[in-house]
Amino acid sequence: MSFDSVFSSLSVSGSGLGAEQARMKAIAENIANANTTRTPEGGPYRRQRVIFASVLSSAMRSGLQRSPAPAGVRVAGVVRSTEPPISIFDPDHPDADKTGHVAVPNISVPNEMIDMIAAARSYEANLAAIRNFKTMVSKAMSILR
Amino acid sequence: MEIARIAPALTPKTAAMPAPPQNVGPGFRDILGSAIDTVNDKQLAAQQVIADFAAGKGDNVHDVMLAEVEADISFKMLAQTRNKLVEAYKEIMRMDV
Repeated sequence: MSFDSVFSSLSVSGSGLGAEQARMKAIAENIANANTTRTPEGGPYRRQRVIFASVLSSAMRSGLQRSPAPAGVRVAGVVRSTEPPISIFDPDHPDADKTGHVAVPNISVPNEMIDMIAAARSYEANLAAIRNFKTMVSKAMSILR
Repeated sequence: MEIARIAPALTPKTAAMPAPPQNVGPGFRDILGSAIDTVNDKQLAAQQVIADFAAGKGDNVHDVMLAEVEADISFKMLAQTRNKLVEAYKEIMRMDV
């Protein structure tokens, strides 16, 4: 007897929580590095974006099941923005070039805040799904009473 | 003398009862036993996840919570089944023979 199918929606919501957490981490890094001009790769910091991909259940992948059965979301990768950095005039800056311009990251902190709110709300939505699943199972168990 | 008369009337009946069928799949006891094992595994898994998290090995909080929810729900399911079984047993015991 396996409980795995009973708890499949729990693991789907759990993967959603993990994905939103990864997104939150990327946004936090963007905000923290909004003024970073030095990176190991050279040049200013480049904005990070998290790419999500849906996951198919192992039964589908192994060909046991014909119809696609969703099994959550995963982080497909973190990509760096290719937008050119903003050049600001600051001759006193140690990283300024000969013309006195400094390349700073093309990050808008207000936009990152909005993305963060979206990530937080999506996280809450996944939590609500888990709560509702718990309620549904409890209601089903109350049939026996 | 009363008993002697009843006894021969009873024995042929019990002897004529069909033998219990063999190999009819897992019995109720096996199913319940495996369910209890599964619930126990869930409890142990949740305990392990909590211990790992307390030791600083966990990646995130929600995995700990989900393990707890799984253990909780499966234990409640088992408790409900047990309650129903005890209820059925009492019902049989109350039955007038």
